[in-house]
Amino acid sequence: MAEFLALSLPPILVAALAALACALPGNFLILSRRAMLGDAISHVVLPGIVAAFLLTGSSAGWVMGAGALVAAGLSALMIEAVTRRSGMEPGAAMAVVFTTMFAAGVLLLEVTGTGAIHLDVEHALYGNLESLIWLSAEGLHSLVDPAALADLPPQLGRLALIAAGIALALVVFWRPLAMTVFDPVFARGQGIRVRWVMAGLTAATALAAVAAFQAVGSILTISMLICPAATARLLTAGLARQVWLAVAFAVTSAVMGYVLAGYAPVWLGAGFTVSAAGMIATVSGAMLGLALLVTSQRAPARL
Amino acid sequence: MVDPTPFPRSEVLSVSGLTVSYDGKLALDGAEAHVPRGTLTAIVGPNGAGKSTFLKAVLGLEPSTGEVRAFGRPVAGVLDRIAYVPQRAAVDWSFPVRVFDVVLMGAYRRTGLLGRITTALRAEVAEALDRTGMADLADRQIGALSGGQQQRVFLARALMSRAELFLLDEPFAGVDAATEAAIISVLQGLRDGGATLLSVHHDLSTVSSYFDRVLLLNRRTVAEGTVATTFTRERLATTYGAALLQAAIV
Repeated sequence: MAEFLALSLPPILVAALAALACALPGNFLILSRRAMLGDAISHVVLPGIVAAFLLTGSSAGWVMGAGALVAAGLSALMIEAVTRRSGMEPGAAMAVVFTTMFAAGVLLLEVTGTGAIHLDVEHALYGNLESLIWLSAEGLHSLVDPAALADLPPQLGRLALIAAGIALALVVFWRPLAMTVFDPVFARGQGIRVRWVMAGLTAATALAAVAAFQAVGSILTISMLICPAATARLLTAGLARQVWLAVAFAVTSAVMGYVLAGYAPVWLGAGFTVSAAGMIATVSGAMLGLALLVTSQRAPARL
Repeated sequence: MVDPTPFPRSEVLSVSGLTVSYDGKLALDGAEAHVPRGTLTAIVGPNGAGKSTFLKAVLGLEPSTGEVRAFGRPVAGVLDRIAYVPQRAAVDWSFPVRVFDVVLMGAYRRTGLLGRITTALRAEVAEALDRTGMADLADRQIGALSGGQQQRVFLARALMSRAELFLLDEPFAGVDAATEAAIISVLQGLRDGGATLLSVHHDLSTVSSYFDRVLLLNRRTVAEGTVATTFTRERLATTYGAALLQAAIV
């Protein structure tokens, strides 16, 4: 039990919270056909983090987070500018901006050397979920021991706070958000500040993506922004039900993916484990595939 | 060419010099309108005349120049008294939302962010659905509706806003005869209750029976006034061009 608490519980909780924080805004990204925005933001996090480190010389979590948020905001503005000036479709503008910024981030990493900073391309892709351990865990009593709890990986508290914040914002702004995504013209007529609502959705996406990126890497972040919500979208025709289902899928794939990554290769007789983040993303992708199989028997649904 | 207002009633909507351009091309070139309270006006004109643009520019949804006043004030300040029913194609019909919830959105100014959905409000939604002949379909996902039913959902949503000025963009496009009859009786009922309505309309053969006023538009206002005085062959010819009129009238 102590081993489970020390080695498995923190990464499972972090993965589940990251999945939750991403899946919530992900629902509305998909409904407003901005799925690529999640992709874009997750990628520009990398140059943001590297630039923040180069500018401040600090690798503290909040410095990195701030750098990533600035980069995310900057890229959102750039995407809008490119879309407006070029007349390209937003998806193309996003692809241009985020691949350029991600590539620039990789170059920046290479040029400046990765020795001093605990960041490399593999971490950027897969995060370091397995390294989130809780050394003070000695047994179940540690769960109520403040001293031991204080020693939990800091990502856990940060993600819990951000997930709770996003969930709260979603509850409070549910009506204007749903109305804006469904029919922005009508929403404006009802006095809703549509641009602010969409900016808020972008900000929530950026916040979730940045927090998740630090723990689980960009692949899982993108997967969690899109896959659970897309799966839920296929299975229901109600907005609230879709969001609840997405949350359930996100948490399920986090737990299942982590467990499978640790044990499945062993069950299959191999002497190694695989990346938890990679497995979680694979599981959530498989869930989407399964949902597609189930629903393709019925009327075709449009994503 | 604009008729003097034959109604001694107050003017709900006044538009002057309304101009909209897309990439240097004029979609509207100084359009005018002076709409008295309690009237039902058809906006009529050929394709590309700027009818939809006119409604959007009045609402401030399109960048425009010129003056628009509703209830004697700039439109931005009185949007809560105006309901806009756009063309059907404007939303994503696969959106996961039921008919009931769409109509309820029309009451957002009253419910706000977290206001409770009271029994009275639910009853009002049910009544709006009933008036538009949609009572049986409240629980349907909107994508599962026919074109005419979708149009009526929008109309029901507009009813919930308790607006005094209604701007409708082709409410009869693609609807069957029964739906058209249902919609026009709702619109006439609203007018009789004191509301003011403008509706983009394509079918010249029904203008006289459905509407009491007409606004002939072809990038600028060709004529505006009661159907009896303004909806004349001569003015339609000016609006459409003589050759096109033949085709439009059959």
